[in-house]
Amino acid sequence: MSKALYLLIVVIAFLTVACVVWLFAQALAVNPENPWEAFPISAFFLGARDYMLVIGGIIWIAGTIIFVLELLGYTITTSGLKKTEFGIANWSVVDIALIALSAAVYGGLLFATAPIVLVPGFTWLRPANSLAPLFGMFFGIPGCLGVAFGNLIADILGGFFGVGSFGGFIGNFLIAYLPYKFVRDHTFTTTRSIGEFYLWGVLAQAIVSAVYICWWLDIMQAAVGLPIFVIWGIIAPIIFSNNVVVTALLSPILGRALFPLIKARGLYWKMRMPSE
Amino acid sequence: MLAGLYREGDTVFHRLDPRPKLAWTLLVLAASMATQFNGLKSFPVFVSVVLSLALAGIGVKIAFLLIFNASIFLLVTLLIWVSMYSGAGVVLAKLGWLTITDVGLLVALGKFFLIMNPVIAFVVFFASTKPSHIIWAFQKIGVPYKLAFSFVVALGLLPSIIKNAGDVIDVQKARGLALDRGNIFERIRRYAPILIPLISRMMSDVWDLSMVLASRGFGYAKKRTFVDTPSWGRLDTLFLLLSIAFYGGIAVWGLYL
Amino acid sequence: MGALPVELENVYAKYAGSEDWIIEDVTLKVDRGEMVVIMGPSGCGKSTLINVIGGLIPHIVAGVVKGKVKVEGIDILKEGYRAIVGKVGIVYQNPEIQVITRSVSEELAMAPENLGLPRDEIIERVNWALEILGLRGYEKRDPQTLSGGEKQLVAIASVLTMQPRILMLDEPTSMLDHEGTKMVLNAINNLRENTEMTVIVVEHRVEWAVEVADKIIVMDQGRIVLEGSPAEVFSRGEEVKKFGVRPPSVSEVAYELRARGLDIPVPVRLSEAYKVLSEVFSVDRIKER
Repeated sequence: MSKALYLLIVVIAFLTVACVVWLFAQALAVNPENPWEAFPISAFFLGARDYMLVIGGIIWIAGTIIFVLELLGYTITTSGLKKTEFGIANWSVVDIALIALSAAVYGGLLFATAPIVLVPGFTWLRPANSLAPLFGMFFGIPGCLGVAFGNLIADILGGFFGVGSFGGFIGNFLIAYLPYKFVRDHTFTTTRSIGEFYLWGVLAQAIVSAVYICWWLDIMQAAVGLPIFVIWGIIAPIIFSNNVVVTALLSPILGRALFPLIKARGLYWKMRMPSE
Repeated sequence: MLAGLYREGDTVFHRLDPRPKLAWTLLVLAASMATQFNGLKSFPVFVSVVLSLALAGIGVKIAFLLIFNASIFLLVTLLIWVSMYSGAGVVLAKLGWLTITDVGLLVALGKFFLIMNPVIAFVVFFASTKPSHIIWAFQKIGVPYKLAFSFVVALGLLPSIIKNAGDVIDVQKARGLALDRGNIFERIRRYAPILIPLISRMMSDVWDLSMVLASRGFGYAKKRTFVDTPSWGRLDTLFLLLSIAFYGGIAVWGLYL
Repeated sequence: MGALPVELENVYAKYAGSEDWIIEDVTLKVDRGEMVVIMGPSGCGKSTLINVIGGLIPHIVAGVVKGKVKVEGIDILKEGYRAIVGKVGIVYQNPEIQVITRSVSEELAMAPENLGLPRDEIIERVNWALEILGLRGYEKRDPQTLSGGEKQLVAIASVLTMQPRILMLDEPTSMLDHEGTKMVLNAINNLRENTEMTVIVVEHRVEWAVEVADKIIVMDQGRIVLEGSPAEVFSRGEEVKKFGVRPPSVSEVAYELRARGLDIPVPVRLSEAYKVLSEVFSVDRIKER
């Protein structure tokens, strides 16, 4: 049954690709000098690209500022900038250990667990990504940094480290940061808890991280070598769909099982004592 | 294949200070950017980074393994570049709707090298630079020690974490866990019995590691000593000058000639 | 007369969120240069005691500690663990989490580097630690490639370079195989003979403990229930067994003989057992192997 379903998905994917290719061929026939104007998919992305550049720029600037501020020990609230206990200056050995182990576990699992491949080379799902919002929610800023470093480590281990990795670094920080910042109930045992998680830990982080990373790739196009269509047409949907699907399916199961364990071990960020 | 993990060695690249090595990776990137529209001009850059794999004792096989792993993605990317330039230059071939011109091919090749050259150069950098030297280099450019140290400790713990992950997967598979059966949704959920024990183990390790760091005086002194610091020598100067000459020359060739 | 290395008085300790005390009413004095072995069943509070002495509870691991805890004359409940950094070295059970750099020499240099010591002094200390633990030749080795016993030796060496006055080891051999255990226990013997460090070890291997320990402490349910020299402690066989500690085999033989009416002293070491048995069997001397 699963083989048939897998084959069906692959066939649909190839039909989609074939359709895209046929549309492109039609566009070439209509306008050989500049087929992109006539190609519907590129027209959509390229048409939306100006909006994406503006929205992406806002997200990129805001995301980067938030990253730097949190590292300096400040957080943005409705009543302005507030000092926190989680800036680098306050990090205790427990924070260092949390960052290092979150990074090693997240990066190691991204690398060591085989992705669930949907279309070879294009679409795959990484179950280890389900840990990212949880590390932020449970461990706070050290968990968010661990996710950022973990993604970097996976890039280094897999031999994919490059200019694009810098976008991936803060993009992954934001995947963990948004649920840390906005989800109030971390228990995964109430409707409110699950609802908040799906809003911030599934949808919002997937959109923000996909836009952040792809905006960076777009701006650095001259150094990255990827065509606009690949960035917004392939990479963005991959990041978005992977982050939505695995966090929606797996994170609540993990969160519900792990939250009591993390509290019992004294590692839940809200319970931890101020560092020396 | 842990492509970018540090491997102990005594090669030319291992003996270099991290600063000229970092400069070299940036020069590779710059030369690849300057020649991205003509693959023939960026080919020498590719050859140089593949050679550097050999000089760093890593082996040129890694380059081809990296390319193979991303082959489909690279192929589609390159086809798009070829088609974007199908209106320019001399037509070499027509494959159905795809018109391949000499310009299209050169651009596609140039973009291919723009993607792969820096990737290979960074593999060489990380595999031949001691993590403690990376911390030292980060500190020199203003990255706080605690941040750099966390990253390097994470790199150090990786082999045992990856081994633990493999052990848990094997144990769960022996207990009947089938990761490759079922629909997509079932297959994703089946990772729970792997991830939960690993995170549970991680929590004990966090306390153990923090006590180890505390008992070794982490963060004690305002000015920490560094015993094993890189030192800039004649080899580094020569390497840097040669890199500037070579990659600089290619960049000029790519941009202006 | 200088301060005692370790002085605990009526100490209670528990972890945050725990209702019950993990250690209760512990009073303990350790003399300079003493070798103390702590024994007891699992969960009796041995590791907690080590972490209280090291200042890690409550300053790193959230918890509550009551009573007086003085290490090298410093009240660490008041001053915090940083007041004794460099004076106390702790080695833990799991060698995997104690080796975090990519070369043995880096690992050994880390602690004195953290203390901000001069470079030349650090190099001297690293060489000394390599020598005293038989790790010459391991300088450039990646700790991740070493055996469990070798990793644990590196962990010991990496706290030795602080030249601590007190060395504490929490079940250093529990995750090691036979070879690794031998390596580590020999290293501890070596340190005891060649340095003036005060050593506190949590260890279950009783035959080793009776050979090296000046004092044995038995804990049960958070309390110190027996304390004294190996001979004093293991002369009370029934009590020792009641608290879940296996006496030395030679002592067990003596308990049996005493239960059968023979009035003999209880040996704790094999060498003592030879003497006792020689007298029992009235032979001049049983030859030691």
